Amino acid sequence: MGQLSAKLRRANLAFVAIGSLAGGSWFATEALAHHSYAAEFDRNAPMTIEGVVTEVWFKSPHVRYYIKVADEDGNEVIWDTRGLTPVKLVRSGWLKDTIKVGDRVKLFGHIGHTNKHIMSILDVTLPDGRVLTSRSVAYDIKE
Amino acid sequence: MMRKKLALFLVCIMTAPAMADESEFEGSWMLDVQVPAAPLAGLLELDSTDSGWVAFVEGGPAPVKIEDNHIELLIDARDRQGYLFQRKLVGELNADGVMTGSMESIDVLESAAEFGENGSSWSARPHIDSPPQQPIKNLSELAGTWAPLRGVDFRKWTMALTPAAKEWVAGYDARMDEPQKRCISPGLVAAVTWSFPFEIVVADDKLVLLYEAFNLSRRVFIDGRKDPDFYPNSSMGYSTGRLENGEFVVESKLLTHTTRDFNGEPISENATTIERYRLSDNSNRLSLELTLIDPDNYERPPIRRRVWTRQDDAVIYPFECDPDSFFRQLFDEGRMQEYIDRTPRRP
Repeated sequence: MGQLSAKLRRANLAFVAIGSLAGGSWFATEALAHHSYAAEFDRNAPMTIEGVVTEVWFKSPHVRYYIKVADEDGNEVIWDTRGLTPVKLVRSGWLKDTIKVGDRVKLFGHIGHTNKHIMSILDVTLPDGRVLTSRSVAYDIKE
Repeated sequence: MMRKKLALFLVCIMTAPAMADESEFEGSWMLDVQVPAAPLAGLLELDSTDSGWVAFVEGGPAPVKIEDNHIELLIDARDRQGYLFQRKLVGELNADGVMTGSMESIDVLESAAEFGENGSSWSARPHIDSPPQQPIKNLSELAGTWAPLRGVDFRKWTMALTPAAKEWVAGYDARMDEPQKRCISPGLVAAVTWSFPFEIVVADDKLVLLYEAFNLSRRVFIDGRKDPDFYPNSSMGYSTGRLENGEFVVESKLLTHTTRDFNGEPISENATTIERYRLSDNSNRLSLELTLIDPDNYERPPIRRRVWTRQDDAVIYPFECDPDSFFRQLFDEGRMQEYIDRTPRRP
């Protein structure tokens, strides 16, 4: 496998189902709430991808990271991945230079209904092993 | 012995709760669902018609079954991301004039996941315009930074649309038409109720409201000034406010054509909004009831709600928005021409 080889795996759907039935906390803190997330992303199909960051857009309405990923046939594909709006991320310490061009990252998230190379990021694993989440709502958890 | 039995029977008859009459359901009710993490509140209207009972929650239709003192209500909603689901409320109208019951099930329509509500108790009391427990005496009490709390709003999905509005919604494509995707303001109704903090600055003649979402701002004039001539329509409109029975009431007009929510329901330039703000919890909690009046598009006014907590040490962050990545995605997906063809859909 090459350096950019991707580990694409379907998340265990049973886990999703159990998480849902158990009370929804797994999903309930997601908050890409200022547009219809449902129109674009399939929450029944979370995936993990791994690759190298080629571009960083740390801007509203959503941060975007373009990631070079090798598919199962070894072909390189650019994924368009996105997280919460910066004003929400920075409050949790996820800053503009937290993820840089050239970083190798692992992303877990929902992929598009039609475009299978776009992802809404739920969690990202940084090169140093830290895991950040793009699910929290800084001002929505006071009570 | 016989006398004792008769006396016992009479006592039982006199103390037994009377069953409410079906007609007593008719009217307006304030619906409260005690979801532990995020209580919900909404206006429930029940009308008896020639073809049976009809119900509206927050201005939107809700299928209802009423028999004797029993009621079942189905309320469709979206979660915070736009996935659809239904809340089924089952209960009874009690002799004390209060409906009580439980949320028996949630039918998921689009893999929505606002679970954790099953079994929550609910109640509905006759809706009366009662004065706030903590009347606002001076508008300076509103000054400060306010952070949104969870809950309160049902996020009712289906509204009582006019035929023209239904046609508009049928052609709506959220992936392309949502203004906020292009960094365009979504308009007053959506922006005011979003989960971002905002700040209120109080001046002698106006309140200035500064929203983190999309760097939006608005002035609410409180000095009774004459409306300016030729004021242009805008996403936040032209607002005037007044203290009324302990509430801060804001009326807005001159809005631009935009959408109400993720469903793409239109708001016309003729629309007006009424916002009613109340303080509670020793001035540390601010609640809003927002009513959209737009007969061009809605047969009943939709209602949205929001509650904030005072957080004066919070700072409103700048919301610099760049639509570049949205257009790049359209280009990458080969949908640029489709986007251009839909220009008339973007007010």
